[in-house]
Amino acid sequence: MTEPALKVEHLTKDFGHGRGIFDVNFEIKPGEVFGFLGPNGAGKTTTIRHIMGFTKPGQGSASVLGMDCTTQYSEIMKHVGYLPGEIALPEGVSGWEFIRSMQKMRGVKDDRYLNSLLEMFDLDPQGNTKRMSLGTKRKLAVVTAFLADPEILILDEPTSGLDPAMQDKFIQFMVSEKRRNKTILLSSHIFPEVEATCDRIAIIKDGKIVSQVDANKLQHKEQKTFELFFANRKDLESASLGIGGRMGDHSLTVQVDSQDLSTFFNFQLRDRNVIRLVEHKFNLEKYFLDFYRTDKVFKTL
Amino acid sequence: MSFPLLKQTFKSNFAVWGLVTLVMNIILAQLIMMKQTRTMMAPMYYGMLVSTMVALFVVICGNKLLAGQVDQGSMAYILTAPIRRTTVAFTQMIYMVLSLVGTYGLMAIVSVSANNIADAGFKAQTLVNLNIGAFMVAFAFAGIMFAASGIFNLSKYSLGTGGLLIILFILLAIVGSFATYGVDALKDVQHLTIVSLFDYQNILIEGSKWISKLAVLGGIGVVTFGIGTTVFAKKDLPL
Amino acid sequence: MNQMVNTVHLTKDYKKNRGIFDMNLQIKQGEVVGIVGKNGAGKTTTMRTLMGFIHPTDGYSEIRGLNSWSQASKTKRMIGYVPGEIAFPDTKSGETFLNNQLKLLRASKDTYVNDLIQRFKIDLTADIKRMSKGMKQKTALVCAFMTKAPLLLLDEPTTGLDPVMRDAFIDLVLKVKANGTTVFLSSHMFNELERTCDRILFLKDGKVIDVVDQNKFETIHSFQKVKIQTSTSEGFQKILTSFSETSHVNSENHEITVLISNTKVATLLVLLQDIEIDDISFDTQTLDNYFEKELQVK
Repeated sequence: MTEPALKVEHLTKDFGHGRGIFDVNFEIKPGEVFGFLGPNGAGKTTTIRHIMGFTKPGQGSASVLGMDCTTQYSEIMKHVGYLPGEIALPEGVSGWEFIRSMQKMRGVKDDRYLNSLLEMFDLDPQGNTKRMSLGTKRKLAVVTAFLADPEILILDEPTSGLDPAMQDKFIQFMVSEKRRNKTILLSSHIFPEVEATCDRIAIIKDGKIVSQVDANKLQHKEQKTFELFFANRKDLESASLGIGGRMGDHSLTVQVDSQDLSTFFNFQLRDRNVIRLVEHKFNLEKYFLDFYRTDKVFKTL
Repeated sequence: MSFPLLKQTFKSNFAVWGLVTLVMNIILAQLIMMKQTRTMMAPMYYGMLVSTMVALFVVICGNKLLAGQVDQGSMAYILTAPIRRTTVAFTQMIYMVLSLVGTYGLMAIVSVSANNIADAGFKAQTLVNLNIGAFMVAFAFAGIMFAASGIFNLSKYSLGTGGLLIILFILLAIVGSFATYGVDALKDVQHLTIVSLFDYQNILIEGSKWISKLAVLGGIGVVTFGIGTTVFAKKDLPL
Repeated sequence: MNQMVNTVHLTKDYKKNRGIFDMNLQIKQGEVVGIVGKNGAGKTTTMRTLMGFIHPTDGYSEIRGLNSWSQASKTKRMIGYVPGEIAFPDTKSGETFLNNQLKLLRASKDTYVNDLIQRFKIDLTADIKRMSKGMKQKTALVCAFMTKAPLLLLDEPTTGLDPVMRDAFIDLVLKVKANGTTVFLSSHMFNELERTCDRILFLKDGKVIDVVDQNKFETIHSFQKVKIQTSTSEGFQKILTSFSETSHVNSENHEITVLISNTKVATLLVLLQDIEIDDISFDTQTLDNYFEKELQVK
C-alpha cells in the first residue's frame, strides 16, 4: 500500500441553510488522475479550498502527502500547483514581473520548465496584466501555477471559458503531465477532458459524495455499439435473425467486441443491405446526467 | 519574512508612498524656510497636517496589504507559494512600518537641513523628536488599519472600519485643536482622539511628558498589528 | 419592419488585427442568432458595441432603429445582458443583489422571477463572494432574463454551467423565443448553440466568415467521419483509392479517416466486406468538426 498523495477524510464544513460539504471522503493515489464532478454549487470548490488550506474544516481533515492541510499548508505548497477557475491576477504588474516574483516566492531557480510552458501555451507575457485579453490572462495563470513543476496539480474548472484550441492544448498538457506520473485532481464540467484524462471519478452532490467510479471500466473500450438501418422491414428482420441484437421499429442495435470487428464487417454484414450505420459511443455526460438533477426547491425572492 | 513578497509589495505601493512622502516633505521644508510660517510650523504641521496626509497612505496601502488582495482574489497567488499566512502578514506589516520609517526619517533629515539652511533657529533634537512623535501616530494608525485589513475579507468593510476610525480620530483632533486657539470648551475633545497622544507642545518646550504618551501610541500599534496578523493567519479565506 | 438589431459596416479597430471589421448584421424580432469564434475573435467587442459601451471606429449599430451609442440610455432599456466577464457588486447575498437589480429595473417580484430561480436552482442565501463561477453565471442569467427585455445579449452564457443547467438554459431560450424575444448569444462552440439558433455566424479575426443556417446544419450532420485501421496495406490502399475526401492518412499504421455522406455508408460497408480491419469508429460530423480547421489552426 502506497501512501495516498491526497486524502480527504470526513471533511465537513457547514455554512448553514444546507450549504457546505458533509462527510466527504476520498483518496488519490500518486500518479492518479481523479475527476471531481458535480452540479454547480455542490461543493467542489469548497472542498478544494480546504485542500489548499484557505478554509478550516468544521470536522474531519484533508491531507496532502501525509501533511495536514490546515497546519502544514505552506509545506504542502512546495508540492502543489493550483489553478483556480477564476483568475484574479494582481493589478499593475507586467506578465514578466508576475512570473518572476512567483518564481522567487516558490524558490524556482532555473527557467527550463518555465520556457517549455511558455512555448507549449504560446504565451508572450509582455505588457500589463490589466490590458491582457481573457485568453492571455488564463495562459499566464496556467504558466505561473505550474512553473515550479509541482508533483500534484489541483485544477478547479481549468478550461471553462477557453476556446476549443486552448482546451485541446490544456488536455494535451494534462495528458503529458499524467505520463510524467503527476497526481491530478480535476474539477470540471467539460466531459471530453474528463474522459481523456481521468482514472477515477467522484461525484459530489449537495455537499456529499454520491458516487465513485473507475473511469476505465466505465468506458467499455472493448465493445462497440452500432445501430443499423435497413431499406425495408424484411431486411431488418432477416438481419435480426442472422446477427442478433436489439430490434427497433426501423433499426437494429448490435454490440460488437473490438477483436471481432473484422468478422462483423466481413461476414455478418455481408449482403445485409444496410443503408445507414450509426455508432453509439459511450457518453460520460449522459451516464452522469442523473447525478446532476435535483428536486430541491429553492428559496424565492 | 519573505523578501520576494516584500519586493512585490514595495513595487505595487511605491507610487502612493512616494507621492505622499514627497508632498509631506515639500510642505514641511516650506514651512520651516519661510519666516512668516515658522511659528505656525509645529501647531499647523505637526498638530494637524502630518497625520492627515499620512493617513491617506496608511488607509489606501493598509487596505491593499491584506483585505484588498483577498477581496480581489490575487491573495490566492501569494498563498499558493510555500509561505505561511503569518509570514505573509508579517511581511506586509514590515513593509508598512519600514515605509513609515522611510517617510519620517526623510522628514527628519529634510527638516533639520531646512532649519540649518534657513537658519530658522529650531534645535535639531526638537525637530527629530517632533518627527518621532508624528511617526508614532502614523504607526498607531497603520496598526489600526492593518488590524481591519486582516480581519475583513472585503475592502469595503476594512475601509469602513479602520479607515473610518482613523478619519474620526483626525476630525476630533482638528476640532480639539481649536482649544489651543482659546475655545477652552473643546479641550475635552482632545481626550477622544489618539492623535493628541502626540504632545508636540511638550516636545517644543523640551519637557519629558511626551515620551510616556508616545509609548501608549506604540502600544496601540503593536497590539493592533498583532491582532491583524493573528486573525489573518487563522480565518477562512474566500479564495 | 420588425428589425431588432441592425449593424452597418460596424467596425471597432483595436489595431493588430484585433476588433471587429465591417460587420453587417440584421436580426429580426423573435430570431435567435448565435456567434461563434475563438478567444479574441471579436465576440465580446460585438456585444459591448451593441450595448453602447464601446464607440465604433466606423459604421454604426442600431437597436430597433435607435443608435446604440448616441441613444444608449434608450436602447439599454430594451436589452437584457450577460457580460462575458461577470463581476458582481459587493452585495452580501444573491437575494440582495437580485432585489437591488429589480429595483433598478423598476420591476416587481413576480412568478417569472421565481420561476427563473427554480429553473437555475439559485441558492439565494449563498454569499456572493463564496460563489463558484457556475453559480455566478446562473445568477447573471436570472438577472438578464428577469428584465423581460425584448432583446437578450448573452456573452458566453453557458460558461461554467453544468450539463443540466446547460439544458435548462436551452429550454429557457426556446421558451422566450416562442414569446417573441430576440436573442443574440455567443459561444466558443457550435454544439451549444445549435439547438437554439436560427442561424450562427462564424467570426474569425473580427470578420464574419460564414453563416450557418438550419439547412446547412442538416447538410453537415448528414456526413460521417469514419476512422478505419486496416490490418494490411492492401486494404488501406483500397479505401484510399475509393474515397476522395480523406483526412488523417497514416500509411504506416494503415490508418485512414474518410468523410462520407450518410447515403454513401452502404457503399463503404460493401467495400469493407473484403477488408480485414483492426479498428473502426463512426462519428457524425458536428459543426465543430466542420469548422475544425478555422477553430483550431491559427
